[in-house]
Amino acid sequence: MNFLETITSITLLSPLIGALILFFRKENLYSDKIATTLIGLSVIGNLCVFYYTWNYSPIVLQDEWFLLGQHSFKATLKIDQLSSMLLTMVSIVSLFVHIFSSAYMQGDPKYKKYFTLLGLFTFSMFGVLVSDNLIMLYLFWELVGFCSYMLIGFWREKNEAVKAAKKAFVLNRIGDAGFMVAIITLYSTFGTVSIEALSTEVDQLQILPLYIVGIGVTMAAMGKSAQLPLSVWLPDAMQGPTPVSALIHAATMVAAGIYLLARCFFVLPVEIQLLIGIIGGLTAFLGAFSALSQNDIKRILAYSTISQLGYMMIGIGVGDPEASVFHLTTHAFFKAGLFLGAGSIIHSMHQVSCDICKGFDPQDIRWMGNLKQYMPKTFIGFSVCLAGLMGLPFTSGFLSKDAILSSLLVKASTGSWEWIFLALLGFTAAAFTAFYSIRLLYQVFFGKLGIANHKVCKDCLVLPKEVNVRMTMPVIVLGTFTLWFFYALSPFETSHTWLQNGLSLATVDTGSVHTLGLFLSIGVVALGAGGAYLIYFKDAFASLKKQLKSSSLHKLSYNFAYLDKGYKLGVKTTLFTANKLENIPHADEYFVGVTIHTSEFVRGFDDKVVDFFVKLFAVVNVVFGHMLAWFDKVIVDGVVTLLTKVLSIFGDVFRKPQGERTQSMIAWSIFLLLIMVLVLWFI
Amino acid sequence: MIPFSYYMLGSAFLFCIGLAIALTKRSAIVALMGVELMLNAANVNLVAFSHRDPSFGEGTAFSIFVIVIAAAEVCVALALIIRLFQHFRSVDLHKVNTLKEE
Repeated sequence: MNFLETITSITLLSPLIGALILFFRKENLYSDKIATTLIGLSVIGNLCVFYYTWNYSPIVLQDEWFLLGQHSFKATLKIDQLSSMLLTMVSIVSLFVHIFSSAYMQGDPKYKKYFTLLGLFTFSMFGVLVSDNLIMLYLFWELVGFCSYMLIGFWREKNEAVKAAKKAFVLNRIGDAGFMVAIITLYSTFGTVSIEALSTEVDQLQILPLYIVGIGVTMAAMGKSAQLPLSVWLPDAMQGPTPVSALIHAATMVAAGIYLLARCFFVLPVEIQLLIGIIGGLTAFLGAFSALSQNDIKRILAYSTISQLGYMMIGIGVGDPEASVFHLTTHAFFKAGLFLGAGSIIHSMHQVSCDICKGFDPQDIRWMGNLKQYMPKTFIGFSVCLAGLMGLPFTSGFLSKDAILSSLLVKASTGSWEWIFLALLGFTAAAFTAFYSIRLLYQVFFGKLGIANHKVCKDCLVLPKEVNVRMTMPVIVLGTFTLWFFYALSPFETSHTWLQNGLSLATVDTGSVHTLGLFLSIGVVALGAGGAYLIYFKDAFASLKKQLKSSSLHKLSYNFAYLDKGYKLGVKTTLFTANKLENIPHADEYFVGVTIHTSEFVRGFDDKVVDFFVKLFAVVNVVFGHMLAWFDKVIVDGVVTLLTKVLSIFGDVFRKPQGERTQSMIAWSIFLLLIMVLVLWFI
Repeated sequence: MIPFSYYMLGSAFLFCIGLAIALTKRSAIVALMGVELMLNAANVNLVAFSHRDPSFGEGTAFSIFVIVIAAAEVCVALALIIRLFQHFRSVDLHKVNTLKEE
């Protein structure tokens, strides 16, 4: 094992080592320090790996895994540019989440377990990113799902948390089933599960298996990346601790789906790409639309994540996975910053309230306000991240979102109506994003402190305080990563940033619509943000606002288009039908009767038809055996006997004339010997 | 100096006498004598060749080996004849024909 491989192994394994150390320790003390140190180690290692793969060549570690028949499966770790970039992103976000958690989770009785799970979560995400073998990827994929289940339901004494965890798990399983079908189909069609081998072997002519694979992989991504209609788990996943939400929404869980699609982009037929685009467009639109009316700060962010993931799906759909991955990376940083900022806000809002204040919810933005004054550091970090989410110029979010939207415009400019429709959805969602971001900013940091206006609560009010440095620092640093200069020198250069150039994925040439794209995206952001500014900061259109609030559109938005209700209705209908069936008297007897008749029929069939064929088969076999025996006796044995007879006749011919006496035999031998000598002499 | 062809003719004559005795005499002991004569005819040949071309110096040594082995062979043959006699109460070769096919 050379130096590079050692570094890589340490990098990938250190979160797992951290988790194991914590698992075998008894007390909570120093748990955060151990976990954070090991993640820090991983960050450094990942930066080295990133530097190496970006400048030299991909790192490949390979070993025999298991043998199935003649086919040997190899456990292959392959770190190319895409993997190493996402590895770096995941480890950095994970590091900040660790630092933040050490303050946020302080005093929790399950402190140690929390950090164990965080480490395992990070490790399994590493595994997803580096596996080249699809079966191995699937294992890590499941591990990511399991860790998210454990972390969403971390406070398991809360009923909602347990429900949310179960929901996330079940909805992910639907997608995972699709992934499994895709893997099986790939193996049966191409005889290999290695992505690298597949990328050279995939033949676009074998169209039917590719459709199955495409749909399977898309389903997997829909589950993990919370696309419609499987996206209902993501808002509920807010029941977990807030830093975990940051990790799930930014780096680990939801990134896996987009990563899988970007990785397997070469197997997706054009029609499946369109399907992905449509799913993404609807998700982006509906997510942004639902975020407009939420009051829970974390739910707003959750719906915004759904909507941004929709953008990434659009990017895959238009054939520009490069832009998707770019958006994934930039989104990871600012979304982690937003969630950690939200965590800080919730943390300090917790201290505001007191016992007599009934109905207070520290996550409800209506209770907040004017926090700019009390929490200036968090305000700075949070608002920069929010600017990234909106896609304001000079932020990374602008660069990456514009890259996707430009590619979408290129497709739409070909004139096909699906892509025009998708472009409309995409730009509307961008306007909505700007709108709810400004609303969130106003409700939380400007205006008046909501709790101070309450009749009862204002009596025992303690003014919110800035949280400690371990919580502000990650938000501000992640906010810094939102600025454009990490990704491109020019803040308006959206298609050829060094990250995109280095990734070497498929992309779309957006040169023709570059300017148009820029103006359109700045325009819709200005429209959304301006509208929100007028409504909230300037208090304009008050009557319209009131009207909208009571309209059914508002309800539709607040309930995420009643998707949840739809699922519930489905389950209830099933249960109802089952109950009804149970209430019909003697229903079971009919079943028994039918079963008995069926088995009678099957038995008769067995006796008459199946047995007849079996007997026929036996008779044919015996006849054939006799024929074989005759052949053996007469032909094979006959030939052998004939041979011996011929030989004995030859023997008699030479033996008989020699007479009976010994001396005549000797005379004959000498005579024959002489003849032989003579013959040899004259030849 | 006796010419070389005389040796050859002499030994051929001796061989023929030995062969005739071995094929015609009914007594096993006399037939054995004929065999001995044939052996010694070969010995005469060996010595004669060695004498004619002395570069093959081993001819005489080889004939001495033949004489020694012939002595041993005579022992074995006489022992066989004794067993023959004990079995058939005779040394007549015409009576020793029980191996033949009926």
